[in-house]
Amino acid sequence: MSCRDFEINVLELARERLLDANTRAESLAHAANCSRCAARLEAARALIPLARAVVAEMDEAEAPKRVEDVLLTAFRQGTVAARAARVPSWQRLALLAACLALISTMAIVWLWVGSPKRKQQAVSPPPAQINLQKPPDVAVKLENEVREEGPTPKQHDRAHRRALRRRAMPTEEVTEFFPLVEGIDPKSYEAAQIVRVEMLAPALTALGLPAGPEIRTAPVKADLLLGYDGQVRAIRFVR
Amino acid sequence: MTVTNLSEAELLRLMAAGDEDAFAVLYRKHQGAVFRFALLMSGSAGIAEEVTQEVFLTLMREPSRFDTTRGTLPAFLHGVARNQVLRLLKRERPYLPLVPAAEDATEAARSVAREDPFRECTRNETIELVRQTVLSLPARYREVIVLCDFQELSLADAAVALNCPVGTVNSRLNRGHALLLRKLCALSEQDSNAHKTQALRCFA
Repeated sequence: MSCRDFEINVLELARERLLDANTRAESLAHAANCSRCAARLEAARALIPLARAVVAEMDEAEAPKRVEDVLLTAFRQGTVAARAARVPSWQRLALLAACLALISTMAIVWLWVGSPKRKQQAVSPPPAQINLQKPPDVAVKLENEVREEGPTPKQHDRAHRRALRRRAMPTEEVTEFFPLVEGIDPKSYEAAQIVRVEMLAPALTALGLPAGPEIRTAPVKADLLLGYDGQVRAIRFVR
Repeated sequence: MTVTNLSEAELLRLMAAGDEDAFAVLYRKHQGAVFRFALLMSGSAGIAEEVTQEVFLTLMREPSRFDTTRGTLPAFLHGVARNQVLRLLKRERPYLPLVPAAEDATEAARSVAREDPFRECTRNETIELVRQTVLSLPARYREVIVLCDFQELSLADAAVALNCPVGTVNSRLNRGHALLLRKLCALSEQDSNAHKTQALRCFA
């Protein structure tokens, strides 16, 4: 038996506890040959009776009754609180599902509104192509001049922002479109381009429109309705 | 079947489910050992009471902290108690006596022995001497001696309670025994010398 094996059994030997007969014999034989282990066994044997005397003296020592009372009260309160806080599992699942739905909605909104691509789009204006629909800043009464399509989320978002911008800007007043080509009803145009221009009095005169003295000096703001061939079909004035 | 007949594992399960009787049975079964351990470690009934309360509050609030695969319930409770004792002793350190801690307890025991010569031979005095000497040991030796010699925990359970390997417990116990014996021998020699002097003076 090695010293390490002896150390495992030394306490049991000193306590005079039940030990396997072979182990006991081997341990005692080892202690007889190893002075260090013998000293350790002696020390343990000397101290165990003292320790037992102390424990016997303290045998009655217990926590006061008030500790038990305090603990039992705490246990009751804790149990009541836990029961109150306990939610049926299906409710917990429903709550979890609602939380997940809310989080995913918020994430989608955040990605849609706050993504870099969207921000870039918001910063850089779209190419200077004339809008086939109504001009953004004009309250147009033409209902049929644009092609009606089902609104995609992108268009919906754009329309929403347009409405906000329109609300922020002062409203313009426009006239009806005056046809410049005979026999063409501007309302019948399904696809056309509207170009915002500022025209001087000679340009108006060239189109066959009367130019009063009040517009001789200042340009007049107008929308030109162009056909597919780029020819001006109609005009309306903006104030 | 009453809760008193149930196994500890079953009692713990019931306690975790909110059974007050199961908790009361567990408390009554283990509170004495926990209280005595804290008393031997600290030498203060007040600290022992507080430690006992904290240990069982921990068991009540976090029963999952006790892992049956790691050790027995007494080992777990002693481990919690040990941490609480060390925490409280650290907290109370500023209020401890002016005499250095290591010498204080033995000096107190010595003074008790000198004050009343008739009590020297009594069992109570020896017990008090041992207790005070144990209290004077450094905490790392005191805790293994209290756990293994006084509470009679196995080396494995002590290792669980102290959260260290069995080999460490073994070597600390060995050194602790040597230190405790040396202190006790020194004290008894000093006391016997003092008594001899007193006796000579009496006979003179």
